Amino acid sequence: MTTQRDQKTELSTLLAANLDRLKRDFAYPSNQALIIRNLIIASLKRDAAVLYLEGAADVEEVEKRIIAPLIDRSDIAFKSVNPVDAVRLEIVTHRSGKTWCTFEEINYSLLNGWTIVLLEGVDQALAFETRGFESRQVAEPIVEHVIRGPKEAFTESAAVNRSLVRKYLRDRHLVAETITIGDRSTSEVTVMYVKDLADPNIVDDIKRRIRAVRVDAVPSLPVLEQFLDEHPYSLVPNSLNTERPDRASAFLLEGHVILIMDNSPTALVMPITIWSMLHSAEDHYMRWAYSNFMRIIRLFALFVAVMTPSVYIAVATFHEEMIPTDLLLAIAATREKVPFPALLEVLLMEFAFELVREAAIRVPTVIGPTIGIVGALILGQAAVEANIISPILVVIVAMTGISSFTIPEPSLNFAVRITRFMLLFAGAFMGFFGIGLVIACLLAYLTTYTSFGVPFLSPLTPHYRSSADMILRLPVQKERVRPHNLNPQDAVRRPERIKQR
Amino acid sequence: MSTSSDAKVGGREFTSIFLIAVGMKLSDITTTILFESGQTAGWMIPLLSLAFMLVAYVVLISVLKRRAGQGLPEVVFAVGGNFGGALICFLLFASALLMTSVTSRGYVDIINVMVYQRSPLYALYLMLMGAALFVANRGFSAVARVSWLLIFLIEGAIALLIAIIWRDIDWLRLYPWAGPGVTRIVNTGIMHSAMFGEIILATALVPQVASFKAFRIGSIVGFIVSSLKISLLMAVYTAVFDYPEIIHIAYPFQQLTKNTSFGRVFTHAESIFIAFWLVISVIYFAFYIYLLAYLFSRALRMDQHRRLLLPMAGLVVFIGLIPGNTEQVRSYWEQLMSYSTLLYVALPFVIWMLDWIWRKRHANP
Amino acid sequence: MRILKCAIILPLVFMAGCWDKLELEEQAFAVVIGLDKGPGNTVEVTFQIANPQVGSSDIGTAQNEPFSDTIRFTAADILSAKDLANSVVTRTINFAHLKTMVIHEELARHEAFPHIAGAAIRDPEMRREVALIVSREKAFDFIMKNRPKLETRPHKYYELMQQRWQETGFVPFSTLNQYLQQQVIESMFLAIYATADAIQSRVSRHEDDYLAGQVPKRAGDPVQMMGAAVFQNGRMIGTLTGEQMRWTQMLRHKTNIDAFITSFSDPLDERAMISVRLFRNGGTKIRMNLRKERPDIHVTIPLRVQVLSFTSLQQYATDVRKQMLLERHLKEEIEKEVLEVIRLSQRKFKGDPFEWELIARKHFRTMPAYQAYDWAKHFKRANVDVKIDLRIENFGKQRTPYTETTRGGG
Repeated sequence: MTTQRDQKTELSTLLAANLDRLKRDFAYPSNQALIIRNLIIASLKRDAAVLYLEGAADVEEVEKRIIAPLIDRSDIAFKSVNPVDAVRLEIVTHRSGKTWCTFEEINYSLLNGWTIVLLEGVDQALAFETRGFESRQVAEPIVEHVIRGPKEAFTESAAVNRSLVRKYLRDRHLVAETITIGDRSTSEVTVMYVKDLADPNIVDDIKRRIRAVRVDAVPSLPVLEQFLDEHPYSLVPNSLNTERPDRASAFLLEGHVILIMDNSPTALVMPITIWSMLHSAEDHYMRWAYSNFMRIIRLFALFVAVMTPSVYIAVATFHEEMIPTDLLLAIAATREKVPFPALLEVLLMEFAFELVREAAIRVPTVIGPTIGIVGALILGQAAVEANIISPILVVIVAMTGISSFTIPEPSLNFAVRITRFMLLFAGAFMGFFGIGLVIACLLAYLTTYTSFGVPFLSPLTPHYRSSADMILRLPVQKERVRPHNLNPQDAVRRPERIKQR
Repeated sequence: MSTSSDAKVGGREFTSIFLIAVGMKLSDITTTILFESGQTAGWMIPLLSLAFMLVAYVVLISVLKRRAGQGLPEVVFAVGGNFGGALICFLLFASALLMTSVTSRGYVDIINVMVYQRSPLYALYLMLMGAALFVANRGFSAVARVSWLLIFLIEGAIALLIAIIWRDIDWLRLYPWAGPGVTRIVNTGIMHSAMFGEIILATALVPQVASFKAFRIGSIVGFIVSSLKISLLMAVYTAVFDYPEIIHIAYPFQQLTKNTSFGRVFTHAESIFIAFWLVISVIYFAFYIYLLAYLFSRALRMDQHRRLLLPMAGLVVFIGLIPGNTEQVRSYWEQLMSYSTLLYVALPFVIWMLDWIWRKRHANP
Repeated sequence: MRILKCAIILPLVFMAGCWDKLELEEQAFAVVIGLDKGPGNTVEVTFQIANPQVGSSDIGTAQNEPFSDTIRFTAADILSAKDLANSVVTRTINFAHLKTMVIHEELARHEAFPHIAGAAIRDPEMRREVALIVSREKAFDFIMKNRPKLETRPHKYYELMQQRWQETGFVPFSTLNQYLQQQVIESMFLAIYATADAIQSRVSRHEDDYLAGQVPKRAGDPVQMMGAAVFQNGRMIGTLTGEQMRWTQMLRHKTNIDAFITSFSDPLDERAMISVRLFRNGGTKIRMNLRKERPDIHVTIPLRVQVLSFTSLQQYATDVRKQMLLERHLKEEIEKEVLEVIRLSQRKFKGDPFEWELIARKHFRTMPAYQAYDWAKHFKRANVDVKIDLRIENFGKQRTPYTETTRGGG
């Protein structure tokens, strides 16, 4: 926190002076937010004032646990001599209690929903944590659906999110550290990791980066993610957002670090590898054969989504000998009536598909289904019959689109879509030669891309020992080791040999 | 965790670099040249060359073992002094440069003749080297990791190729097994040992590898397996095409892929193999460009081999465009092979002697 | 700086032509090529170009267009003819899907033929797996007359016929690759022999004892493929009938033919024939003794036989003695026919169509020694004896002929 030297920062012993200062700071009475309740503490026979911000503090808690005990008339003698201690330790029934001495701390805590109690003749203020911002209830995840498994998702309240993570991971080594960032509007970032698992270098690196963020406001986690991004211009994402607490706790158990903030119904996981983005939560809730089946299909879909249009263009314009003769004649027949060259056709179709995709996200749910029907009709059948595109292209673009939907992680989805266009142009330019060269360059880029020091394609390359869970899974009994690419301190999930009867 | 580009390369990645770098010779002009002298016994020649080169390699390793962590240039400077060290490094660099230029020109010729007839040579060359430069720029670890990533795919593709072509193979075509005569085979084998010359050049990279043991195992395994691969493929070429027709075929590997068909439907699958082959050749040339830059910078005792990558690539392209046509490329390759063999075989012995002298000098207090 | 670099490179990428790029609908895919002798030292090249809009897809159908276009040009070689064709044809001719080459017999016998074929192979578009067919009449006529009723698209005919060639064994499976290989070694090359003129149709009891043109058929498609054209040193020197062709394939140590149906005379009834399906029961074993001036060659062909039908209606199935008689008879017949083929190649063709030279090569240590031996010369004078290992496997699903039961029941 920066200290401002233009005004006095310490409280005075006069209640009125403190109140005046706070009223000025918060533009009272034109700003209706600050609520001041003057009262007389009967048991101490002192004037006091209770302050809180409307909308930030939980009013019920304030009334029941702070104001009510303060007003309560009882004649029991107090043990503490200091009135502040008396109020804090013996009168107020609220669970928390802190003393602040400076106005910065008071302002900061008021903004964050705390309740301040000022006493006459005391130059300290009492603060109680009564945070009560409105937020959603715990609901089902929107993006990461599973058929089997928990259906809880994070909400916009950091406290709720932390509690959800603790529910899934009850380990006393699970640490939640808070870092405050933002100059004007401060936000708290919670860094959670398992202290005896995560590599201390990675944790320190992340914390250092968070502290180095210098901006006036970081409203939510996606913005913070971009600030922490090591390679802002790269297509490949650096960290992963997950809305499921079970997934977050699984990452924690591998040695990752997660960040939680208010106003974000996601947790940010770092560091990540490509495998983190290709595995869905469901992979571990299903049996061995089923989840491997899903993984194979997903991997296959990844290749289809990236390569299909470029391979089609390359084969149709450079390598016609590869197509079986019957198919070739069929394609040539339908293409004869189409006025555009093959590349233009593919671009048109891809562009139209991207339009439909964007529209489907933005459209109000009332007319949502209509878009699907209209899109299919217009783009598919009518365009073919109007001889704008050839029918095989509809198949290709549809297949590509559907395959890209199987990618569980949205950032990777975008990366794949953009890479697809890169490959498309390479294929249209030089056929398989172009595609081959671009793939080689792409692989070289991916293998040397690091996310917080962890190579992106590890533990495949460079090779590290890993739980047998990278591309295909083994049954849970065989997953003995944590992936070593995160350099965990305790690398074994379960001991070597357990004699089983 | 260590950062990526400067990380040391592990044993697996290193082995796969060699499997690629040396194994690629089965798909270029090397094989045709060997068939001209070797006839039906051409498949034996890689084994002989390897055996011959291994002798030199063992000698060199015995010198390097004493100085752990130091690569060839460092050792050479230590035992040969400034002048001797620089001379040897430059010789190695020159031979590697010429080799890379001729080989890359050969590859571009293959692409030009077999797949893209109308594209101009310089455009193909520039694109190929541009991609190799990009990969080399990402660091030696990029080359190593991509090799590890792709190695099983490559071996699988070759195995698939052989499986598909199995029907057309007639092992009787390998007879008479002694080809032109045993002496001539051995002679050719010895004179063409430089095709495994990388085994000597690669010792320059010892500092980049995680441990000396990893280096040793990686290079030995890589070379032996590659040489077996080349042998096997050459036997397959002979068994499918038969001598003397094999001499008339310009590029046997690509021709073999043209014979592949998956059933009645996918009859001309060679483009898939071309795509694989291209990706691997980018890695192959990236490795060489990196090696060239490294050798040159060590010869001049500089540390900045990263900046030399672009000039090296440019130099390779420049020299590679000099030969006029494919037959000239072949003859240059042959000549280069003979001279390089002398260099690569003699060098370890020279170094060993220098090391012995050095040890004697430094042993007496 | 980075933006500047991208700004320079990107437009270059788009401006520089994609040199090898070809749009699908601008290509004319030639499915068959025909070669005829032209005046002087030229060849007449016939291209049959498939029309994609006929028979392919409902959406792209053109009603009034023919299903293929056949054009003929005279030029110095195939590639010049391909270029010349573009003075007439609106699309670029592309050999990517060329599967067959038809050669006129007269051209095949001509001395210029090896030069033409050898020159054509340099073009990367011309593939080595192109099948070679030798036609009795001009290739142009053959291609024009080849209008199979059940196949609208011309390439389908050749594609499907390739399967049939491997099943029946009436014709060899000949590709340009084999032709070029066997030009430089001592074996003889066998090509498919076909015609579209059924001029000499005759009837023989053996269903494979025909040459193309002689198959007795009345209606149906005009093209017949039967028998082989024999090449030596790249030029055609003679023909083999379908029957001879089959035994030639059996005499090779490695062949694609696994089984075929053929017929022999019935040992117990001269009017009747027995139809059998012959299987190879393992590889043909060939042993040679090359030390003598006239080398000895021992060939053993293991066969197993399924007896399919016999019009004599004898009880071969149930009577063991008749079975043994049948076995012996079949063995003798086959040995006779095989020896006939061998003598034919030794005396008439003076060459080795069985690829036995590969076996001979095993007996030599070095190539120069083998080349000094001159296999062709020694093959002519070799003593060949053939042994057939025959085993009758089954007699079909009918145990006794029907006459047996009526006689018993009546």
